[in-house]
Amino acid sequence: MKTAPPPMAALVLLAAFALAGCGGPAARWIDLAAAAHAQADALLRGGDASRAARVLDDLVSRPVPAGVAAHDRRAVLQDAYARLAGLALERREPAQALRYAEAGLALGAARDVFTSALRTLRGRAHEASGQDAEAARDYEAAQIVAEALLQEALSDGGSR
Amino acid sequence: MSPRRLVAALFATIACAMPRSVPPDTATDADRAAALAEDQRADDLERALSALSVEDKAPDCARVCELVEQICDLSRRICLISGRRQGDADLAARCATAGQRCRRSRDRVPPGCSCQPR
Repeated sequence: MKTAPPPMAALVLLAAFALAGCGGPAARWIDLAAAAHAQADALLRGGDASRAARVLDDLVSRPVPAGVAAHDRRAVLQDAYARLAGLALERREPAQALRYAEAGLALGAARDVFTSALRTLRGRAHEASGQDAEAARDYEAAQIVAEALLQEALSDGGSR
Repeated sequence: MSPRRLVAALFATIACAMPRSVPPDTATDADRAAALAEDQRADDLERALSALSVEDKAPDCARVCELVEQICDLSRRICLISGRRQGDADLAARCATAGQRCRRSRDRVPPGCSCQPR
């Protein structure tokens, strides 16, 4: 499983970053999130996964300014939690991965790439912990969301 | 193509296709030739617009293939678990359903997209 953001997630985040570039605390938080992802990317390229995780952990631990739109807040934080869960799985820390995936899913579920990615990661964390039935349920939920996204991609050219 | 560009192109086509009010008694051969050329241009634009509309609906093959691969990867994961838990009817049923989703997704890949199984 890749720990980089899924392409659609990256596009959604890019749009959120672009839309937020108007100044104010909300914009600064979005800028901060973009910078944290860039820094984590650089650290991962350099092989420092622990520091990359700390940078992302710092991002999700900060208070979110009130002016950030709810869907932007959810997208940015869920994407960060998904990366954190993926990194924890790579470190063979399924309990930590489970906590990150749970924290991401607690922000709300939707028929989107963030929910699908987090359900997949939670399933992997469950599976790595020997909780096969829970893992299968998460994989199935992720698959149902992915199938719905495929339907959208086929019906509207994937513009969503 | 974005809806806004599609609408702009549509406006351009409509504008080009609008008949010009040339008084019949004052129309010259040059006017008629110009009107004919305008009609031809309107037809060309309409054809181009139709082509763009079709192109707009073409699926993003990379996205489609990525989703199909995800769906089938999740199916493999569910069936691996089911394989480890022989005799668990619930997991076996989930594996069968997940496999159906994978096959159904592969079948839905448009002919223009060639998804390579990883």
